[in-house]
Amino acid sequence: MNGYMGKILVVDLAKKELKDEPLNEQYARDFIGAGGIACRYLADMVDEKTDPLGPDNPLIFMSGLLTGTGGPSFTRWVAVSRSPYTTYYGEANGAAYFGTELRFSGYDGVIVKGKSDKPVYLYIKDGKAEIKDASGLWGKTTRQTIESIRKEYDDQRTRVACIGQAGENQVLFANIMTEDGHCAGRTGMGCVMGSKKLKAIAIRGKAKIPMKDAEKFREVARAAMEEVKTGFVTQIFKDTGTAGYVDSALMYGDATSKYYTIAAIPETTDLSGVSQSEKYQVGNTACFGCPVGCRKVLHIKDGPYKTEKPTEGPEYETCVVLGPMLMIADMGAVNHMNVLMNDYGFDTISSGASTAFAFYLYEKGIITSKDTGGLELKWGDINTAIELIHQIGQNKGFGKILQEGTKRMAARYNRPGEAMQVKGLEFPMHDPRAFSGMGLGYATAARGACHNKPDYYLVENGMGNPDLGLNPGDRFGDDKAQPVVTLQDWRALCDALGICHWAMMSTQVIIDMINASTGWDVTLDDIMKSGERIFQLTRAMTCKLGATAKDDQLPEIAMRPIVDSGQEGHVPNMAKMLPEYYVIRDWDTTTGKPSKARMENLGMGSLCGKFGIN
Amino acid sequence: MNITTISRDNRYIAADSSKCAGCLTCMLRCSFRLDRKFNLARSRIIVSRLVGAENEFDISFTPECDTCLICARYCSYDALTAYKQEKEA
Repeated sequence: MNGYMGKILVVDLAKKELKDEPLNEQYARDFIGAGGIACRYLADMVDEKTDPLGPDNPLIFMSGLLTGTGGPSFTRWVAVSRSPYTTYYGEANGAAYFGTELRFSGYDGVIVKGKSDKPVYLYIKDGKAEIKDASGLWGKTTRQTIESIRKEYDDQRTRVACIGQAGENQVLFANIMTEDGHCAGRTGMGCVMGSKKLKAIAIRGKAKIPMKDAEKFREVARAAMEEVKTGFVTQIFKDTGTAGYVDSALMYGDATSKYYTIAAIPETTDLSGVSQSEKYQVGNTACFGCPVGCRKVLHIKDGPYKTEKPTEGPEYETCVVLGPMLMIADMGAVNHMNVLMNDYGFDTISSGASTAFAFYLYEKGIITSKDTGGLELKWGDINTAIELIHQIGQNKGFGKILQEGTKRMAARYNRPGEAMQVKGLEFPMHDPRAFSGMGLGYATAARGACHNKPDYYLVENGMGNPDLGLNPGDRFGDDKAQPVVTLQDWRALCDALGICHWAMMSTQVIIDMINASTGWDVTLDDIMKSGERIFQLTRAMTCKLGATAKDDQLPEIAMRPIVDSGQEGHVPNMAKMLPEYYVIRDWDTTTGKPSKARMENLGMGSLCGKFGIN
Repeated sequence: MNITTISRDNRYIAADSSKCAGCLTCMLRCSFRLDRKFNLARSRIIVSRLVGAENEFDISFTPECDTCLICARYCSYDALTAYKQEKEA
């Protein structure tokens, strides 16, 4: 099976059984890799009655088709399950070295079923897996866990994906963390891992990835590497990291303050990637085979939040959600909070937004210090924000309420429409009032408000994909239905291939690499159809798990204009874009499900019964 | 700065580990040149992370390295520099 390792590991933690299964070839051909294949497996295993934290909900780790092959930034892997946080389809996408090592160990993926009665971790070396006791690791931070496991095997290149205390304590938005603060975040896959008492998966391998035509692959990968190396995004991100976007975000009104209600405070520039580079940066780290190296290493040497050693720097999303969103503009504090969250292992976006929502409710008098366990929530109060991180990570005190997320908080305090979320997942720091396309993307993405499928703000910033006709337009315009569909399909494909979104290369080199690796003979139309197939599959999955067309709405608070900002008082015209989008997607306007005809057209007719499509 | 240099004939590679980002591209390219397979285990250049460090790496070369310079050609972080120099008489 060229292009794939051809094997998955199926683990039953209750029975302590491990077995190798061949990768389902038809799933691979239809759904390419990572989230595509994982969602297809998930469709066989869960339905609307499955308890997300019960033994019947599997946790599926899957690598992309090109992950680890040596193209530029082909590193990505996913963890997929029914989300305990949103209750719909959950997908967390990670990078660094875990997915690549998974393949080097001989597997395309790992399916974890059942629950262990005591803490365990999984150790995979060269195609052999073992379930190991993790009682000594339970309670450790993610950083300590990785170091302990590496020490145990005396091998710094053992790659570990693990949970911290947040996952152990069933924090609903817990992440799965790997080295350097890299995480598979959003939708609480770490919480599922914690429910199974699975502390970590550690991997080491020496296998190579089978390829149809390795010489041809090398030739194309070399051209791809050149394209990425000299690309615009690479040049910027190498210097500034993703936080380099902070300054642009201020200009566009993409970042906001005070729980999405006012323009971002000007002091936010202190958190930008440029300012980080000038003051604190001591180096970069890169994911496997990546010429971009967007991960900054910072050393805060003075002030109350100085660190003993260099640490991973916060990404753009984290800078904004822990910065201006809470009215904080202290780089040391933001860095400190980011490191804390990574140690506990939970989602910075959802937790930051939940914390900001609590501050917002407090300011309005809807909650008081009686609700917060005596804490006064004053905008800009760093100490309170840090205290809340500890409470969330330990799932205690007011943190117990924050970890439920803003959708449940809004229900609890009877403020419908004021939680900035779609399908229970909080908005990332790309405001739909600055880029209409993001609004449509948030409303329709399978996992809720997701800024990766699609990352339409990039298109409006001139970093789209001319090969697919994705060029900058009027960022406030309402003509986004078709381009958002195209970008979502394209990103579904990129994710399935395991390609990082920052590795921007022409579509032809990607097609050539797919063909050289697998021996297929696909064209742009074929792969776009695969992208659509994956996107529609994840959509059908989310609908099967309970979402309907009613859940495809932006909350009322997202429709309140902010005049005095780069948003210029604009709000996205959802009333026009959403129906157009539904027509292109061929979704039912009540159930939200793809039509039977479209499913058949995509070769998924046999799945209609499973998804209740008739 | 921690620079190691390896040479053969007139070919030199200077490895400055302080600039390394740990992406392992050099190892992949090295393995492919020799074995026509992308396989880190076959690489003649070894990059490993120092224990407990965020971005500190050790770069070393196995005795089989023939200083072909391909690792340096693919380094995106200027950690590996290739140069040719005639030996002084």
